[in-house]
Amino acid sequence: MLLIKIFLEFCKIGIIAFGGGNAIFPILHREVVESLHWISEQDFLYMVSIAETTPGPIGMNLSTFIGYRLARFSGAVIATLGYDFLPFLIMLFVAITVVKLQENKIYQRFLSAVMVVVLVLLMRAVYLMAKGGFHDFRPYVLSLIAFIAFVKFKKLNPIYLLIICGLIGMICF
Amino acid sequence: MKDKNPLKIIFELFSIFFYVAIFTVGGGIAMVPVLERIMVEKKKYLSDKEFTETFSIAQILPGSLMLNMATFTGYKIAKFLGALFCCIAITIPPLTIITLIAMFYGNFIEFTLVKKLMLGILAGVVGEVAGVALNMFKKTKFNTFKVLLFLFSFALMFVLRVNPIYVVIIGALLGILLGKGD
Repeated sequence: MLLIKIFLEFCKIGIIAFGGGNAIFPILHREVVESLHWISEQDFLYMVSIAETTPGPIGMNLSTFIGYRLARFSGAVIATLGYDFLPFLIMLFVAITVVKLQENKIYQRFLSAVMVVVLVLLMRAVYLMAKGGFHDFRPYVLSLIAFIAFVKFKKLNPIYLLIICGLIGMICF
Repeated sequence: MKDKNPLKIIFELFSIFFYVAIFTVGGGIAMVPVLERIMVEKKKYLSDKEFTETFSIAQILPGSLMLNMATFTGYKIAKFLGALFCCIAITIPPLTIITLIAMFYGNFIEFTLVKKLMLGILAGVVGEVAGVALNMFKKTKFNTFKVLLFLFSFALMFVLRVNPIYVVIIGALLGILLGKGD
């Protein structure tokens, strides 16, 4: 019973989670802390700090964590599946439609405008990540180096670049 | 894209997305530079424009960016099974890591060294995402409409702090009504 409840709850959270990442905190907080009392305030903050610093989408990480707390491993899997379920279906439907729309004039106008807005969104993401995560000048310097390396060396595997940045962080931060 | 056994393609997609998922620190946006290099420049599964399309569509729909991009890319390359396996691939690493942390109630994030490692990776991600933004900027064929839309969206998001989803909706409507496409 609990598993079904977890699944449905996270389906709901997944579908209202527009904008990903930080947009999810207030929604999850309202649902699992304030209305369902599944997680205490303090635990929630702890989970957010973990979800932000471990790999993976923040919303998915939080879902896994909360699910685990509620019903161990099966809870973690069910919550994650629930969180991903409806967006997966919507995205699949959109992908099927969009593949057929490539020649459509209205779609082309839509897409070319949305791409411009998404460019601004990327700039905003850079700004928010730096503002939220960097507390002195050193990460900014490292970011700048990574930026130049990424743009200049097209053959460089970006994952190696990230590993190098991580190692530099361990030594210099 | 070369002719390949569909199973091989799905397996390759699975491993790419699995590998990428391990390195997405700081939310799904971190996967964008990595995926761009692998899918567009190295494996040539997608063209530049297709990749930007994927990213744009994934960004404006509900759900995590990572899952959306995996579904869309997977479907584009290998239909339903591609979409499904890409999603499974990106789900396994974070699911495993978080479950392990939850199991041991681990405070290993509190270990200073892990924190520094993660901050270093995040700094790298910020630099790479900025690089993707620059590439995207360079490849946009700006006309008067697009320049105005760019400035308008920038003002809405950075100055007036409007929720980005509204900016996307406004931008899309303006594009349909006044834009010219590419």
